[in-house]
Parts: sequence; C-alpha cells; structure tokens
Amino acid sequence: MKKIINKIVHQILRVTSLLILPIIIYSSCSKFIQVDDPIGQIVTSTAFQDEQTATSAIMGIYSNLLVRSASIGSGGVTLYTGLTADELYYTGTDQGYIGFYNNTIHPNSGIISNDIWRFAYQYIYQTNACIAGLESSLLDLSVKNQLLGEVYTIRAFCYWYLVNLFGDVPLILDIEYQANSKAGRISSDVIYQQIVLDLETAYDLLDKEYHGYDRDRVNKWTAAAFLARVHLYLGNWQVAREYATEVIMQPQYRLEEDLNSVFRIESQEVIWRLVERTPNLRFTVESGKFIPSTLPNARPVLAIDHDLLDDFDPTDERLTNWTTSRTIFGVNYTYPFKFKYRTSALGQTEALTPFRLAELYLIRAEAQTNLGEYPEALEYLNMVRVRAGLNKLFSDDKPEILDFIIRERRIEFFAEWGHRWFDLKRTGKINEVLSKSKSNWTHTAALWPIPVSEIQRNPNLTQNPGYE
Amino acid sequence: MEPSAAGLVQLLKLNLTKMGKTYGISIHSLQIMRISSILIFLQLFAVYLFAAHDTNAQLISIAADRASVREVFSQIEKQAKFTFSYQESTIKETPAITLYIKNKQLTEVLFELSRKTDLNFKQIGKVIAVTKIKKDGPQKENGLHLKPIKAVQDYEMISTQDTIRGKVINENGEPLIGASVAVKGTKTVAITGNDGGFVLPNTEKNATLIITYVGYESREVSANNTANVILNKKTSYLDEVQVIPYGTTTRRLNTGSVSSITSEEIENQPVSNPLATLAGRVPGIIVSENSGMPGSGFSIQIRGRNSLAQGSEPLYLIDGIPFSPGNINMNVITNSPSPFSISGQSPFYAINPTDIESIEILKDADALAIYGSRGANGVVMITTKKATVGKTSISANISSGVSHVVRMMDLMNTEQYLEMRREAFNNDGYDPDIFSAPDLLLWDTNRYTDYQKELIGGTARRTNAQLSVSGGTANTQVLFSGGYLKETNVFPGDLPNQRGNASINARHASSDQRFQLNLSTAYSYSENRSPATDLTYLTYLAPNTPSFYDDARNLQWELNGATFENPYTFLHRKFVAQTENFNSSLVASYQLFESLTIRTSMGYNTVIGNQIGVNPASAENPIYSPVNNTVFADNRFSGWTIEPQAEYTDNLWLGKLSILVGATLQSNTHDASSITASGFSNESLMESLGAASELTFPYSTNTQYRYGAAFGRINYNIADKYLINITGRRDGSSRFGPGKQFATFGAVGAAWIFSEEQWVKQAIPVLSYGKLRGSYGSTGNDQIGDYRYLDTWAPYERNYSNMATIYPLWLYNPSYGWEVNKKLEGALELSFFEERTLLSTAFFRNRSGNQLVNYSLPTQTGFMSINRNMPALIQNSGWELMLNTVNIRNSLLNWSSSFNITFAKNKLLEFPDLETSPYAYQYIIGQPLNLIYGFRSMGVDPETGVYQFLDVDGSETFNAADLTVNGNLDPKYYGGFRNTISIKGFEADVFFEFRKQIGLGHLGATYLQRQIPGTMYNQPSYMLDRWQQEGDLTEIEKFTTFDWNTGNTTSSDVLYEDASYLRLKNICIAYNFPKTITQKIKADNFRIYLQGQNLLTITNYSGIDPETRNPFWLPTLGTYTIGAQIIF
Repeated sequence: MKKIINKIVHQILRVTSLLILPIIIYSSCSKFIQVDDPIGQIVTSTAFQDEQTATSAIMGIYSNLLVRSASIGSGGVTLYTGLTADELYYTGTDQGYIGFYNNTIHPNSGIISNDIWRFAYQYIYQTNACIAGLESSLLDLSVKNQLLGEVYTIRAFCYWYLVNLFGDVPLILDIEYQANSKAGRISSDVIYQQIVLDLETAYDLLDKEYHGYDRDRVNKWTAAAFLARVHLYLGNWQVAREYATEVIMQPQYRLEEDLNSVFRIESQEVIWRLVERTPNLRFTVESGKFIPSTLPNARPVLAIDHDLLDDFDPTDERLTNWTTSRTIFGVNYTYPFKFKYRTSALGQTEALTPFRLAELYLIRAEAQTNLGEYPEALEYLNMVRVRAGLNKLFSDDKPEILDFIIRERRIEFFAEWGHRWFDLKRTGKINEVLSKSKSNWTHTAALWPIPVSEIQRNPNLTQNPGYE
Repeated sequence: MEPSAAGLVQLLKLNLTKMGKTYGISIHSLQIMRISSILIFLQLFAVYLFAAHDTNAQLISIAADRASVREVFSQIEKQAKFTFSYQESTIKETPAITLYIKNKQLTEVLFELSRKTDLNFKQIGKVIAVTKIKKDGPQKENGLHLKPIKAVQDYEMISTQDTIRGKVINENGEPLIGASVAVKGTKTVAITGNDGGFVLPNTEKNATLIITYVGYESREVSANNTANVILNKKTSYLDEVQVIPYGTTTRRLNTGSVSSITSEEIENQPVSNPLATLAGRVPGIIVSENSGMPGSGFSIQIRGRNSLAQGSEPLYLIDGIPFSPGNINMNVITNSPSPFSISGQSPFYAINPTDIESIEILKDADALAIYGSRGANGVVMITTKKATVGKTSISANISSGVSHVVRMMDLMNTEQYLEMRREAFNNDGYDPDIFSAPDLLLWDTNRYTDYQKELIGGTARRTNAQLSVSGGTANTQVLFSGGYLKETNVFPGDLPNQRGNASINARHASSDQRFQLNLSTAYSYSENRSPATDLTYLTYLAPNTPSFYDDARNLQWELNGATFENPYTFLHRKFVAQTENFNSSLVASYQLFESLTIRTSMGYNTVIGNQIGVNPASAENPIYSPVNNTVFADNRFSGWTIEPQAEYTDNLWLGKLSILVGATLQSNTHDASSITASGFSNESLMESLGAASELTFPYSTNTQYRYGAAFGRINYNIADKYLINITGRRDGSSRFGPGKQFATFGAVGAAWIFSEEQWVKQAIPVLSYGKLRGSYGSTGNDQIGDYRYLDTWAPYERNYSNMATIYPLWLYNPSYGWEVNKKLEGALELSFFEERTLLSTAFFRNRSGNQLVNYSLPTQTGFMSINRNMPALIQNSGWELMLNTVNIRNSLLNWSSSFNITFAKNKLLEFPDLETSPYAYQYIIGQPLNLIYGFRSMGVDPETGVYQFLDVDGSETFNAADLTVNGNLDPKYYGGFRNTISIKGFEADVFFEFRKQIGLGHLGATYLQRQIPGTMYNQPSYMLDRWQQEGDLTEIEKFTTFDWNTGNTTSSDVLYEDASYLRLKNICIAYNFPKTITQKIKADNFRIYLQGQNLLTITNYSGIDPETRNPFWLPTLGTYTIGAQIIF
C-alpha cells in the first residue's frame, strides 16, 4: 500500500512539474489576449485629439447627410413634402409614394421610418458624439470653436426638419443610449428653443470664412441665415430681419443673374451647399428622381402639380429655366429642372443648396412687412422678381404684400427643401389651401406619422392624431 | 516493457540531438513556428533535468580481459548502485571471463554475463542475488530472467526456457510497431520494435503469447510459431479509432457524443465542398446548401439555434487547428446590382474532400467543454489523411460528370401568362397602359421563351483528377497528394471554376518511436468565375420578354420604349474570385516515460481571396449612363495556434488513469479591402488596376482576435467498464472588454459499459455491447465580432470637402460577456448479435443563457441596436437515434444499413420583460425562436377573392392582438438512410436524406419580393387555380397588379408551406476488378465507379427546391459522374 501511495505521489510530482508550463503560458494569457486597437478605426478618446481626425469626424456628418438616399439631408424633404403639399404628383404605382401624395401616409411607411426618422437621429447622434468629443478635447480653441459651431448648426438643422415634419419629437442631446432609448416626445416649443440655442451658440463660435472647399461647410453666415429663418417661423420679425440683413450685407453673396447658375457649384448665391465631390457620383438625389431616363418612353416619376404650374406667371423665366416637360403618349408632364443633370460625365457641376441668398431676401421682406417697413420689403421682393424677368410689385396693403411674398416663395422655392409645405403650415393656411386641391385632405395630415416601428421599440413614444 | 531509467537518459540525449536537427529544418521552413519550437525545447529541457535525477538511470560499461567474476561484479557495483549477493561456493568454479561492454543497461550486462558463465541473477531491491544454474536441467543453462528493474517480486528461475523471437505484421505485411507481446500467465511483456520484431528471452518454449495492438484484433499464438504473426484489423465498428479533441479513443470507450463520417463516405459523393458530404449523415446536424452554384456556401447548425442574435456557427478545426475564416462568405464584393446576389462563396471550397480521412462532429459538453468559449455551437473536426508504413503506393482517381437542375418549375406559357395579366388589370379595375403593361401593349404577345431552360437549363460539367503517393519505413512515412477539379455552371456561357491542390503529410519517429513528428501541409488554389449574380431570379421574367440580343447581336435593353432586365448583362460582366488556402500543422511529441508524453501542436492557416468584378459600360443599360468600372477586392484570413500539452497515463488503483493538460494560444487576423476603379481608356484594360484613372470607394477593414486558454482532462477507466471523464478550460478572448475576458468552462462525462458485467452477460447473451453514458457541462459563445467593446470611429469611404471622413461605428457598451451554454446529455448504446446490430439513442438538452444580442433600440438613440447580454434562456432538446445493422454478411454478399433520425425542439424558456422589449412581436416564451408568428389565414374569401385572416379579438381590424403562432421553421425531424451492398467485386452505396419541415413557399417568396401573381413576373402554372368569380373556392387569391397591397398577407402564414422532402442524395456503384486482372497490369486495385448526387426528390413543396427554400436561388444540382481509380 505504501508503495502505491509512493508511486502516486511520485507520478503526481512528475505531472505537476509539467503543469508548470501551461500555467506559465496561461498566466501570460491576459497579456496575450490584449489586441491592438483596430487598424483603420479610431477610439473616441483619440479621435478628437488632433485637428485632422476631429475635422474628419465632423466631415463624416456632412458626408452622411448627403449620402443617405433621400434623407433630410439629401433631397428627402424636397421629394416627400413636395407630394404632401401642392407641388408634385406621382406618376407611378408605388404605394409608398401614393400615400404621400394622397396625404394618407401609412404609419408603417419605410420612407418615414428609415429614410427620414432613422437617419435624422443618426445624424443627431453623430453631432452629439462630436460635441462630447470636442468639448473634452484639448484642440486649439480656434479649431475647436469652428468645429463645434458647425456641429451645433447641423444639429439644429436636423431638429428643425424633425419638428416641422412631425411636431413634438424626442430631444436627444447626448449619447447615453439607456436614457435616450426611453425618451418620449418633447413639446415643439422646447425643440425650437433648443434650435435657437444651438444656432446662437454656433453663431458665436463660427468663423466668417469658409473652411474646406468654398461653401461646402457651415460658416457664421450660415448660422445667421438659419437664425433668420427660425425667427421668421417664430414670428420674431425684428430678430429675423436683423440676421437676414447681416447675411445680405456680406459682399460674398449675390443673386446669380442667370437662373441656370443658381444651383451650380460656382454659384455666388449659395450660403451653404452639400456637395458630393466623389467621382462617378455626379448628380444630386433630386435630379436623379426628377429627370427621367433617356429611354424614349420614360416618363417623369414626379411631375409638377397643375395647381403650381398655374401659379407661374407665363412670362416668368423660372418657368422656362427651372421646369421642363416631356410628352409621353399624348400626356404632357412638366417636371422640376433646377438641376440639369440626371447623370453627368462632365464632373461635378451642381450642388444641393440648403441656404441661398434669395431666401434671405424674402425673409427680410416678410419680416419688414410685418414690421410695417413696406417699401424696403417690396424692394427685396422685387429683386427676386426682377431676376426672374418679372415686373416689380407695389402695394401698401400688408395682407397683400404678405400674399405677394408667400406666392413668390412658392415659385422661387418650388421643389426645394420643403419650403412650400412649411410655409403652408406656419401661415396657418394649410387646411384652407389643401382642402381645395387635395381630395383626401384632413387636418391631421399636416403632421407626418411617427414610425410604428419606433413606437414598438419605445413605449414612451406616442402617435400623431389621425394615424393611430 | 517498462524502460530502464538508464536507457531513457541515453535515448533522451540521442533524441535531443536528433530532434534538434529535425527541428532545425522545420524552423527554417516554417518561421511561424519558431516560438513554439522554443517552447518544446524548454519543455524537454525541464524533463531532461527531471529525468537525470532518477537514481535508476545508469548505463554500465565493462572492460574485463580474463577477469574473475568478482572483478566484473565490482566494476558493476561501482557504476550502478547495486550490490551482488552470493555465496563464495557459487562463483568458485566459474572460469575467468573476457567481456567488453559499453554503455549498456544493467539487464543487458547481466544477460551477457549469464551467457558467458553458469550464473543466474535475480534482483531483489538494491541487491542482485547470484545463483548457479543447475547442470542437470533439461535445457541448456544460459538463462537470465530479464525483469524490469522497477518491478521485482516473484521471479522464479525457469530452466525450460529459450529466447523467443518473432515478428508482428498486419494483413498487408506491414510491421506493427509497438504491439505488445505478453506471455500468458506471466507478467512478461515485450514490445515490438521498428521492424515489428520482438525478443522474449528465457521464455518457455511452449508458452502462449498474447499479442495486442490498438485497432487490431488480439491474437494468441504459440511461442514456437512466431515468425510472422499476422494481426487482423478490427472490423468492429465499436473499436474503430475515434478522433476526439487532443487525442483518440474508440467508439466503445468514448464518454462523449461524437459522430463521424469517414473518407469512404466522403469519396462516394461527387461533391466539391467537404461540408456537403455531411448532409443527412450525422444525427443532430442540419446541413443545407445555399445554392447550386459551384463554390456556394452551406449553412450548418448543430443541435439547433442557441443564440438569439449572435452566431450559431460551430468551430471548424482542420487537424486540430481552427480554420481561420470559419464558415463565412468569402466574397467582399457584395454590391452586385441585384438583391438576389449569390449567398457567397464558401471558404471550404478550398479544401479538397479527397484529402479528408474523417470528419467528426462533437456535440455534447463532454466532447466540447475542452474548447471552452468556442464550443457552444459544436465543433466540426476535419482530419486529413496521414501517411502509412509500407511499400510505395500510388493511387490515381479520375472522374468526370455532368450536373443539371433536376426539378424545374412548371411555369406558365405566354398564353396563360397574358391571361393572368389581363385578368389582374381587370380585377384591379384599371386599363393596362404602356407603363404598367409593356408586356401586353408593347411587346410581341406571341413570343414565348422558356427562361428556365435558357438561363438555368444548361449542363454543368465536372472533371476531377486526384493522385496520391504514399509510403515509408517504420520511422518515416510520407504522403503526397495532388488534385485538380474543374466545374462549370448550368448558366449560359462558359464559366469554369477550377481548383488545384497539393498536400504533403510527413511523419517521422525516432527508432524507438518515442519522439514523433507529424507535419501536414496543404495548399490549394481555386478560381471561381461564376457570375456575381445568380440568374435564377430572372427565370421569372415575363415569357414574352423581348430577345436579349438585337439583330446585330448587341445586348438589347428596351423594345418599343419599355425597358426590361437583361440577364445577359451578368454574363458580359466578369467576376473572378481567386482563393488560396494554406494549411499547415505540426505535431511534435515525445514520450518521456512510458506513462508520460509531452506534445506540442502548432498550426498556421491562411485563406486569401482576391476578387475582381469587371463591369464594362457595354454590359449595362445605357439609360443609367454607365461608366466602365471594376471592383478590386482582397480578403485575407490568417491564424496561428500553439498548443503545448502533456499527457500522463498510468495504471492507478483499479483502472487506467489518463491526464491531459495543455494550453492554447491562438491569434487570428482578418483583413479585407476593396476599391472601385474607373476611367479605363479601354474595356480590355479593365482587369488592371494600373489602367484606371480614378479610384473611388476605398474600403478596408482589419481585425485581430486573440484567444488564450489552459485546459485539462482527466479520464479514468476501470476495466473498460466504468469510465469517467472530466474536462475543464479557463479561457480568455479578446472579443470582450476589460474585466469580461476570462471565464471557466467544464464538463463531466461518464459511461458504464454494462455489457461487461457478468450478470448482464448471463442475463442477455445476445447483447454484445451495452453502454450507458451521460454528460453535463458548460461551454461558451463569443461570436460577437471583434472590438465591439471599443468606442470606435471608422473611416467612411467618401471624402467631404477634400477631407477624409469618419463616423461612429456603434453604441459604446464595454460590459458585455460570454453567452453560456449548459449541455446535458444521456445516451444508451446497444449492440446485439456480435455487433451486427448497433443501436444508439441519445437525449440532449442544451440551455443557452446570458444571451449576447444586438439588442434592438429605438433609432432615436442613433443606432438600431446595441451589443449587450440579456438574461434570456433558450433550450434546444431532442432525441437522436442511430441504427446500424449488418443484414447479410457472408463470403458472397455483404449488406449493411445505417439509419439515423433526429427529433429536435427549440424553446425560449425565459425572457424577462419580453412584452415591453423590442422583441415583443418576434418571440413568445415557451415557443421556438424560429416561430411563424403572424395572422392566421382563413383561406380565400369566396366573395372577395382575397385572403381573409382570423380576427382573434373580433375588432374587425388587424393589429398585434390578432397575431397567432402558426408553427415554426425548425425541422420537426430529419435524418438519413444508407444501404451498402457488396457482391464479389461489386459495391453499391445508396443514401437517402429526409427532413420534415415547414418553409417559405414559392407563393410566399413572390409576396415578399413583390412578384405576386398578376404582376409582370411569370408564375408556376398551378397559380391558374386562382379565384376568378364569386363563389370560387380556392387557395390562391385573385390576380392583381397591386404589388404593394399585400400588407396582411406578408405577415401571415400564407407565406409558408410544407417543405418536407425525401431525397435520393447519393448513389455510388463501383466495381473492383478481380486480382487476376489487376495483377496483369501490376496494380493492387482497379476500380470503376458511377456516382450520383441529388438524383431524385420526393416532396409536396411547390417551389423549385425544398433544401434552399428560395425560388430565386439556383436549386441544388443533380450530378452524375463516372470514374476510375487505380492503385499500384
């Protein structure tokens, strides 16, 4: 027995001596399994420590705004509010589009949930992540301020479209996903306060000069132009007038005399443009949608509503320069032609233009009308009209001037960034106007539905009336 | 025979130098293994030191010239710590002796001494007793009883002895090295050497020898008939060698659940992907081909879906080394123009099935726990062929065959199709116009083309040639093999896929077989030219779609102003995927003592994929203003592994104890990149990156995965009757964040071979084998993707304003950990009538918790999901049954059958707060994960002609309250049935696979893809049985062109139908020419064969293939090949 025990002890000793190696290897494991940071990825803590990378993070937002097909940054607002308002009609059979035109958007609409809502909040996340990164970074203050200013402007830009399309929306200002995933809708007044706050912050931080390619990125005057727009919507006429005036006074902006130059990338009318400079992608989302293919029988998918066409003065040069038409099997379709190239082998020639000087003229005109400054108001209104080859208008009747301005906005900004839809809403005329032109119009259609998929994932979200 | 310690040291010295040399070569040839070779040396050095302390370790040299015995004794006493004990009278008459011996073990010295004198020796402890050989014995007195020095007890001097010499060989005349030759009734044992020879000194001439060797039937022979003892290979299925993690065992003694298929079954199948060979043959595993395109992927699931969101992919090992790509899609280029692009190329296409000796599937905790965090979804172990001892053998195997789509859909002809279209417009109340109905108004309504025949009706050709050469001596064996495979498509045009491969396996062992080195290296190159898009979805084009070519043989895109999809665009584009695969594994082992072996296995594996997608502008519809562009992509996986191990085996108390300890270091990297090149001056230059003037959309990714672990296994076997196996592993993975990287997994398995009990033998004499086994343990799952715990930004492929762009990749959550899978198994294995019937039944229950999920989030958080753990618990349980029978076995006819069936059930056991979670409409507690949860169809309303659904809450509207459980997509049962018959030289192997399941039907797929009956897509003719007027009772809705108007249908059970099938998966008929003929051509064997795959399918499924269950993917092809194999 003793022998056996001896033997066991002996063998155990032998085995354990061999165990040492695996144990040594294993104990070095915790070091072994540390991997390097991935090549080609940057950890947040380092992303904002140098100017180059921090700028790339902000450029990522611009790029994302552009690249997502028909999101709020890439023509989505133009296309879909064009249908829900009285600008465009749809010629095809896709029920998704038909719902917009009929103002019976299904709350399950993929366009709403994916193209609009999801990407808008993705942009907002990017802005919030950049703000967090920038605020804790030790970058040179001048760089940091410019970048922060750009980010705040873009965040305001996202919220501005969300609040105008959906009404109350969740207000997400940081990247804490646990709290954010439960956030409910916040009153649109609060959203507007945040927009103003963001824009005022941006206005203070931004440089007057453009960084990067000319007008591709937001500068101080972009924030000012945006503030003018927001205060116009809020009815703060004086503030709107001041911001508009400030932008108008900048010598680098002037109305392009040639209407066909307004949306070109060398346009001097542009305050901020979003432009894809990657080769092989030389067209805007809008032109891709509006301009039909070269196929003999291809009809425009989205054509201009007759109601809008009738509003054009027959001598309006915008009618000839910004629209064109095509007759397919005896039916004439007129479609937007602000962008000229569906595709182009000529290099990048056109750009999406969220802010251009003509808008500031009309903002100023509208603010001044409301402030009783009719002559100056008409002066700016008429500058836009004269550019389009129209006669000047004169009046000293405030409602009439306001009517002039709204009509002018309808023509000048047709199929452009949702101006018509938002004008109808902010002037309170939406029900009056659309109940005439749209057979299915209901009052609740002024707000788009909150995506059902979002409500399913966040019980704190509520649906807009009319879509339950 | 246990070695003496002295001999050991000598051997060790010898082998260290020898090994150093051998090793030197491998270090130079495989730099990757440098680290591990250092580790081995370290290990060996430690052992060397240890062994040197052994007091018994001593070699003796004698130099005696006519010296007295006493002097010789004294020389020995000085060198060995032994004392001779004798009486003066014993040695008095012994003459002076002359003896020169250098460095011999004590036993040998004494043996020599005994031969030269009349003395006999007996060791008792440290004393050697000297006695005189009796003169009057019947035998010549020259005996020394050789005893291992360690074990000295009851030696009795025998005088009727002789030295027995002999040789042990197998049926082929190859020596069996290391066979044990025991003298019956004694403790004397000899082990055969390199030539199979053995020596038993001083053994009774009429003794009986018991010869045993692993994998061979034991034999008893008389000691006077030992010239060439032939051992026969065990034919017993139960005693076949079973590969298990880090070792081998037999089916009889295995405590875990391991199923395997062998090279014979693999080679009988004319397939090019090793995964294909598993389908239906192994219980508990579902293997489905994703598409019939050559090189296409396979989906594999072992014992059900364990994970809510993360991978249920098993771990794939080739000769113990993780296959670095796993079972992913090799293609980087996925942005093909159609949503139906092929499911991707399988990395396993790079592995030649002919090189495989066996594939093992590990299923229960006992077999898997040693793989720790990688074992939750099972392990697929591929073992390649190894070199064997014997004369040089050359085997050549050539086959050639054809493949085609076996089961075409019965699609409508033009007349029926146009009737459907007109009726659809009529139902909708619209007049067809040129935009919505070019097929009715603009195109020739008399035209008819069978697009199935045109696009997928071709015949693919297959040629396969394999050559291998093997042979070797007892110490060194080598196997070379090479192969070439060429497969074409069923699509129009010549789109060959080719694969060439070469491999070498070399094994070297020291002359005493203690040091062993085994190197396997395989390289393959494949070139896949299948179109990047599966053309099958285009077979549903309207049958009067205009010709794809105009009169001038140019691609035609429109007719009379209406455009259409032209399938030939994909044939004018070019997609070339080149894949290189290099696998190398080296196992070095050294047997330190009989009971202790150290081993290090090292492996390196790399799979490199280069893909080019050439899209010339001429191959694209000009309305999109296409430009010449080419996508260049690279995909590179590589990984190395080092696993030092020590294995200790010894008899302890009543049984045999075996302990394995080891460690694993594994590192994997994956790099992928792609870039789009354009601006080519000429279409013929488009395969050259240098000819491009513009490069856009650069994409690259790089990930690194590291894994480290220590593991152990204790196996205790009492009399081959009671077995217990304990395994454990502590491991760490780089896929988790700080503090979450390490975890411990372990399992216990036990088996009771009750047929070895006497009372069972008496009670049930027909029972030849009965085993009850069970196991319980835990494994983990880390299939979450790399770096997900980091808060990272990645570059976006576009610039903005002349600046690079980056974007945040995901929401930051560093605190997720392992998914833990607890597996329980119980099994009963029975064999009757001398193993002619073998029944094995297993019950398993796996519970997977701490689920790693991409938890859905409202997108207001910026992302759609986040990686996190969730306390959901998923159970997979089921029964596996396997029955092997030998129906007839005689000299003329052999007929055996094998049947397996698996019943499995998946169930969501727990999911806290499911109702308020984002998964509320996806899962139900108590139901399977792959649940069909939707509206319940009540058939077509005879009045309106549209589907009506069960209004559960009677609210007359359809919402979440009306969702019901309408079955699930998991197969209810599945399995296979194999028969092999051989009559003289003829062999036949017939295999059926079956599966009972529900699947997405053809109609369902058309709804999901918005190609519903009535739209501008062709339909199967059974759709003509549709609702037409009030009162019609039918299963198919009225035709409509409103493809969007499918709201409730796409969320209902209308989509699904019975997709069960019985498939004649494989037939192999072979004829082996008789020896009389083969000898004339000097061949050992000559065999011709006919093989068929997927020949016949019996199913009620309405779609084209119940295996892929997708009408838009090429169905699995039927293949016939004919071939010949000759072995010299």
